[in-house]
Amino acid sequence: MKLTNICHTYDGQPILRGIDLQVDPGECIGIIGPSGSGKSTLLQILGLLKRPDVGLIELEGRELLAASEEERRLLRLNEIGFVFQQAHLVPYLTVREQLELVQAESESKQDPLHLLDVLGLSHRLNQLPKHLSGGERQRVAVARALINRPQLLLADEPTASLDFENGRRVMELLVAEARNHGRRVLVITHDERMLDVCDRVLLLQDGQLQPSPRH
Amino acid sequence: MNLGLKEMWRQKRKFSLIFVITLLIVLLSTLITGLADGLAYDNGATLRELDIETFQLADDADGQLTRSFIELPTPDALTPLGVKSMTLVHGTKKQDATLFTLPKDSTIGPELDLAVGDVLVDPSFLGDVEIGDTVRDFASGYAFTIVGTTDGRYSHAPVIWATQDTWEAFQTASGQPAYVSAWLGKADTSLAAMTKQDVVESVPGYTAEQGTFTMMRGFLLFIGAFILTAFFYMLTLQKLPELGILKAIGIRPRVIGTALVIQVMATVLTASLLATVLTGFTGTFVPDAIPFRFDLGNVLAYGAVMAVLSLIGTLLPLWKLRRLDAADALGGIGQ
Repeated sequence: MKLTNICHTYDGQPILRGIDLQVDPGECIGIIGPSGSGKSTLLQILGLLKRPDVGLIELEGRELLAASEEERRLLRLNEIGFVFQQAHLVPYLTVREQLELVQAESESKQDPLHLLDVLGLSHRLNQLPKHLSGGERQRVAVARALINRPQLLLADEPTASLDFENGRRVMELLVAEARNHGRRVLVITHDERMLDVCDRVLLLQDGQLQPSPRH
Repeated sequence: MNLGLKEMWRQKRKFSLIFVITLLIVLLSTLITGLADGLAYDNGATLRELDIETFQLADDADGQLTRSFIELPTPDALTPLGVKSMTLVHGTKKQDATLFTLPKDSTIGPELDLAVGDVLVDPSFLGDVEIGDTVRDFASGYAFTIVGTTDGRYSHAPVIWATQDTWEAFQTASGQPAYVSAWLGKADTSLAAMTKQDVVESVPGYTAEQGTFTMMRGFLLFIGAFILTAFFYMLTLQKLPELGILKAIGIRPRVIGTALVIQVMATVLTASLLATVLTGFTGTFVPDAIPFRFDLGNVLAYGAVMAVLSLIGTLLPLWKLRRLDAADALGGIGQ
């Protein structure tokens, strides 16, 4: 996956100034930066939720930004997995149904029960999100992101609402997905204790992406 | 199970409250409309229920039966109708009523197997007087004996029914010239032929009242539908972040839209059907003194209008979602 010269302004203020980035299969990249530096905007652009003002995003040789709205939806469904800061599960669907909802829209044949078993959630299949702990909710969110076997996994502060132990577990899950299945994983986090599992840590500052001097 | 139905099933308390609010708004509209329809119908109820479509009235009566005096003999092919407003006295109590008369063997109105001087009264006339009592016309002193009841209202006053023989006896006793108010039926005559609807619309105060009732129904429907539309609009707005998540993870907009449509249709149509049943049920126990009319067509039309507008209210914010960056809808992941 390759980003070339991604630029974006918000309310007339430049947020991203010519971001170049290459993410290889199996690589897990941590992105840090001060609040308001554009980390989430970068993730939204990568996740095809926002269009940058300028730039190119290529995935497996395909230029993604030229895609139509429907093509972008299909790319988000089949090629990209999202894990948000809050789990953002559908409150009225059980754990199993959260995955089935996404799977029903795609061509994925992955068994949701197997995935939930791997993530230690097989005993929670028929529970609603309100009956799960914070860590369990976030693991369900990870399972939902993985159910369609995406090539790119984007996580925005996935550990922010968790204690260290649960946060660590979620980070290890993400890294394992990158290593074991050749997925590209980008994680935004403020918690520097979580970054040691990443292959690279990049700092987003003043609209530019550069290697973090402290990692 | 559909996404929308699943949400309703799993969030019963929330959707029960939404259902109750919807039901109360629809019910308010249908009940008030039932009262307005009742009042509107009440004014010319007796005329509407006559089994005849053509009335012949005196030319100078302007369609008003109480102003029509036909002193000619009634042609054989037509039926004489007598109508007279009067004040009836029982002891010290007075009540206004309108006397309607038809020949004893006529099938146009209620069955009138009555002796001279006997009358059937609208149930709302009873209270101070009972069946078996005698009431007197205040102007002429003529006595009528109440022998039974039959529903009938004219110009919001109770109707008392008697035979043509009683009508003639009353005129003789009160020293009036012999006349009838209308000839019923189709025939070439020198009188003004009018349809039943024209005669009903000529009942004193009828047209002005109908204008008021039409405004009342219109405002009720508009305000009720507006409240429901705004209500469902806000409910969808409140759900936008959740819908934004669904959009972000690639769920088809059609799946999201269908879930919302099913929810609003299930809620409003069920509420409308229940409101229809409750309005019909209300009509069975309201007292005779309160005119109430259950018009199934009207009630169903109200339900349909409310359902359509609620649907618009629900789907309007979806247009916003369609144009919205799913990222913005998620909230919390701004910069």
